Amino acid sequence: MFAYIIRRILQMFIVLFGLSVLVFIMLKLTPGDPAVIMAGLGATPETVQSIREKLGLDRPWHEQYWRLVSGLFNGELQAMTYHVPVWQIIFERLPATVELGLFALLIALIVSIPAGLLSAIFRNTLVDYGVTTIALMGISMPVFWTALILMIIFGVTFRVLPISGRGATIGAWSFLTLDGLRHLVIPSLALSSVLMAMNARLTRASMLEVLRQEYIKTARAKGLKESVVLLKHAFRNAMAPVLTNIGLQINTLFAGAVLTETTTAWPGMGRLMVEAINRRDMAVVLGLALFLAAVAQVLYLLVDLMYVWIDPRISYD
Amino acid sequence: MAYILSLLFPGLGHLLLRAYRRALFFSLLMLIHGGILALAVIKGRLGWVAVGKVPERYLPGYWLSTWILVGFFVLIWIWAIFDVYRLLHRKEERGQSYWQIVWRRFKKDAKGITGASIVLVMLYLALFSPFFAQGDPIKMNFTAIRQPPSLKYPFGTDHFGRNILDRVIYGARTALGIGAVATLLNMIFGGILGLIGGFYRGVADAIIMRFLEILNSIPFFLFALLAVSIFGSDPITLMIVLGIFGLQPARIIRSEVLSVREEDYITAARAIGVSTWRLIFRHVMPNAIASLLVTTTMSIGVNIIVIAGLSYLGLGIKPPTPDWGYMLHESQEFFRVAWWMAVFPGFFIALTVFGFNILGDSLRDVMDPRLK
Amino acid sequence: MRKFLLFVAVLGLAVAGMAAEPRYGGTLVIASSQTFKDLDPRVCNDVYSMYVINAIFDELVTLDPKTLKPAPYVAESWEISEDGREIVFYIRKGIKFHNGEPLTAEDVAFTFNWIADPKNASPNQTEYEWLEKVEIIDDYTVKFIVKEEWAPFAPALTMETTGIVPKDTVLEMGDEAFNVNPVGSGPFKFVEWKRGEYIKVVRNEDYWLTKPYLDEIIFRPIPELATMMLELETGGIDIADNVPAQDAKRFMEHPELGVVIQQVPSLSYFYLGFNFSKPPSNDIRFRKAVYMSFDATAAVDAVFQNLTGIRAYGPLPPALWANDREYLKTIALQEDDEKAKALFAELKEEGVIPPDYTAIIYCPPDPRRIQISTVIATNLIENGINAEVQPLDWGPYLDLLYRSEENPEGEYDMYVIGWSGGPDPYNFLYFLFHSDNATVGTANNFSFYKNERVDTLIQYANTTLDVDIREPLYIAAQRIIVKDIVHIPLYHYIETRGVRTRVHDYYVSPVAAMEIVSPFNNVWVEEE
Repeated sequence: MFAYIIRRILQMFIVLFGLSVLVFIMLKLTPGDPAVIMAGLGATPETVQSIREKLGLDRPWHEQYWRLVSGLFNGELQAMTYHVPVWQIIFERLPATVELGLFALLIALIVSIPAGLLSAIFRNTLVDYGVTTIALMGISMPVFWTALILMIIFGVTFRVLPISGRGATIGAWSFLTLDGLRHLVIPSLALSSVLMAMNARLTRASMLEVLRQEYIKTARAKGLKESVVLLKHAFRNAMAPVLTNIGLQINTLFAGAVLTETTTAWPGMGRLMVEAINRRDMAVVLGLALFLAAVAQVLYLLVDLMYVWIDPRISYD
Repeated sequence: MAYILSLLFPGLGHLLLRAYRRALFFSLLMLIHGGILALAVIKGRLGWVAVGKVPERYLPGYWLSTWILVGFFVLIWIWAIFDVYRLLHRKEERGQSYWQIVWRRFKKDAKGITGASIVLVMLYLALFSPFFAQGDPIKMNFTAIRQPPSLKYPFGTDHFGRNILDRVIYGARTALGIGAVATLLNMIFGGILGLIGGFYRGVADAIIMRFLEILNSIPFFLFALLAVSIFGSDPITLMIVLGIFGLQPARIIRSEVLSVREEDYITAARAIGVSTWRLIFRHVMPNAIASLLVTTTMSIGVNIIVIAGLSYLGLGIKPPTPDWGYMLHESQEFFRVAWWMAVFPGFFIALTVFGFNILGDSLRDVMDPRLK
Repeated sequence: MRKFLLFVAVLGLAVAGMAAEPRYGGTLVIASSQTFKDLDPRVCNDVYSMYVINAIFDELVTLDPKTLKPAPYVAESWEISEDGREIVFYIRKGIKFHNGEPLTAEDVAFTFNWIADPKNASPNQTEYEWLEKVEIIDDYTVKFIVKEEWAPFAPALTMETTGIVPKDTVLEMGDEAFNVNPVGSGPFKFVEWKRGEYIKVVRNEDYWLTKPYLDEIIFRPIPELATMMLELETGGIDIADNVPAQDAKRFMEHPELGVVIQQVPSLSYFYLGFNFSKPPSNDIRFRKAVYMSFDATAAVDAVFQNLTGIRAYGPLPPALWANDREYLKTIALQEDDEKAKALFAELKEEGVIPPDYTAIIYCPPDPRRIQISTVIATNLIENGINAEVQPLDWGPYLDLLYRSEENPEGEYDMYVIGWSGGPDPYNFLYFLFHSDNATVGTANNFSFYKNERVDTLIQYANTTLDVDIREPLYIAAQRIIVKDIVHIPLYHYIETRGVRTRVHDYYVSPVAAMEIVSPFNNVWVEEE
């Protein structure tokens, strides 16, 4: 088991390395010289050239790559257009996206798990169809559309919630304040719609699978009340695949976050990514790509480990 | 005798054979397509009717839809005749093959019917846009800017006075078109990778799984944004980007292959000496098709939403081609004064994706071999 | 139309002016349509960051909104030498930076010398091309040395000034640190910059000019226009820096929403440019046909609703002298689809337009320019030319327009872009149409238009300060340019801001700055 973990971590580094090269090359191929953008319209060639030199953009590619990557690793790489180190920018925006993601996930689970359970228990009845329809509607509506509609309903027509931006924070976290929570509602509600369908369906499928098992029949035969059967035995076992699947949804979550953050002016990493690409800030884009990929990889590892923990029959050696 | 009747009109032959439900079915098909034909003729958009009467640049589009319609008619005819043949020669027992069971279950599943209907409606809108639309979707009319929905403009007009109904109808083409092609690429590449990995296992499998993991770790939008920045935002780039990113089918195919591989009949076949490729094509693949079908429908839905998202960020189809996602992008700043500009395209995106998703859901239920 | 605008502007000022008494206290929330980049006036060249910089730093000289002439600010007065080569500024005494340091000639000299030095790679360096160096005469007197070729323009140059930075503090902190933690002498002190969220500044209690009424200002970047409008409507923000035409109309028609629209014509010019380096754009018949394919005036009116933009007939905006608008209007081409189709057919026959030609209209990711481009593309399609619009981010867009050594002809046919210039026709005509600027690289004559007569006219007009001599020269040059259809002039933009009724004494400056506290105003807000 230990060896397995080591192997996975090594693989992770290989993946990250490959990714960094890929992203770097794509960035260099992207038209749009960052020096030109920073100099702005009407600048002289000399100005552009000096900016280029300042950023090291006129050096050979492998030199630039090494500069960027080593700078990232020792934490000193400056963002090209933000005047602070890359890691500072990323970690500044990290709490906002984490909050958004966690709350969206929470809402999605609170809604989709009972929905999936009901759907499985009352299979092929109106309840099943209704739940499936609503869950699928969530994923069918583009998340920015949902956000806009929520903003209009709760922000303008009934002025109960703030429309955009993030609320007051304690430390780095805004959900600790009432103002922060109010600002979180609309974005996390919009983002949760992206996850609901998947989780609801998964819960349903998993529950159906569990209900077919022998031990359920045994429990019923023993004379236990149906509700006890469902709650004590079926539910717990059905949850396992659902929970492990959460880690795998992070990519979807982040993609949705990009759109949600843009529409609701939420200062998170999604918006940062769009901004950095527009500004051609290679340092930030590279840093973000590697950071996000690393997080995803770690999550996958944890998910795989969870599988082992849940089902002792599985072993990786 | 029945054949001759069927040649005359699909469905008549079935009447003779007392297959009343089927007769009804074929008549309905004819009715629907006949209706479309009538619509095309009334509006003067059918190929032969339109020549000389409309500006040159509309003709290629009209001809395309005309020929597709003709093709559909031919198909209906052939199908009717073939069906008559089958009725006359059928065996006594009801089919027990896997596909026949699936079909029977599917017919009874409300979710499936709904999903399939929605998908078909959208498909027809896309194929026969010129016949359904009121006019030219890119034609601007500055005297009728941002008109609310009315009898004249059922979905209202946009900030250029363009008819939103028409733009929504033609928008189905880009949505389905790109979604379908991207999904096709997904299926082909994903399928190949999954087959190779599942069948050969070992090193090839490991490499492929790693590759999939790398893809999974990459933030999608990062790559999409960069790719579009480099290659421009035209449909080809989008299809390739989506094609590469949606390779999840590979995993599913692989697990299918893995499970089928262990079956006895495969071992037997290999023992006899059947070549590997034959094995893959004739034995493994048909079983994997079930999962493929389900995944395909889900993928199209996902791809349509993703394209809408990219268009919304301004990275999708170039104007003035109508596209649902781009219409949402344009409509944002007019949301307060012209809600119809955003509601209708958004609704169609949601409906289409919903249709594909619910269809996929139903297929998954219906094809589950354990739910006998 | 103009009367209506005037009425609205006056109404805005009147409403702003009357009502209750000014009071001390309150927070003002200003929304910007782009995120902020730099807080160091020496390197900042984007309008949006300038909103914040204007509040934190003081300039040598400011603009009087009524006379459009320079007014004293940090500089109490100034003298220009006979030959125009020296400008002496007398600095007001008693100005202190936010950290207590006094503002002296040293700081002034440091600020401008730094910008003018090409080694510092400041994006503003071009603006100070004319400056040779700044000399310190004594603690409160500086002398700007003007380069010889720029001497005739000395008076105009005094208008271009920048916020003054404290020399010692900057050297101590370092450039990068100073950029995110600025220290100025302005009416407001920097407090914090939460990137992506807001920048907060608070009142400078010891401000030398006057005590600002406001307690603090919050600057919020809201890139999504729709979101910004919602915030404006609900009072989440007090000032929106950019209001599209349909929302401007809505707010004006519904005063109960509590938003006043303030406008000022900007010195801007937006156009469709042609690439003279290759066919088909280098054929005047093609350019004529494109011009006649669409009704430019109707398109502009549709996009701007006669509110936030007006049709341009030539490069010089109506607010500028030598604009010749009346005459140019008469020679503007009208929409004539028949003629356009005929011309296109002719060109296709001759092979000037290749058989599988698709016209790509490039434009920046600005909704308005995309919309105008869409109109043009649609009309081209209707006249038989396949066309599409390709919006590009500024980076790739400039890359495209600047061309490259390998491909000096450029890879574009038509492009839509804008130009903002200082209040002198030279700023428009020289940079856009003189052959000096038709070079690969960062020059702005993207059409690569080279016309000797135009060159001569512009150069000659440059040699004197006498408006009576210059005006007819510029008019003549402009007429040639318009007749040659180098561009299709599209529109001049009107700065439109949305201001909530609780905000008083705010006006839109003609150079689009955010003036909160100046010799001409001191913004205050009503109680919540």
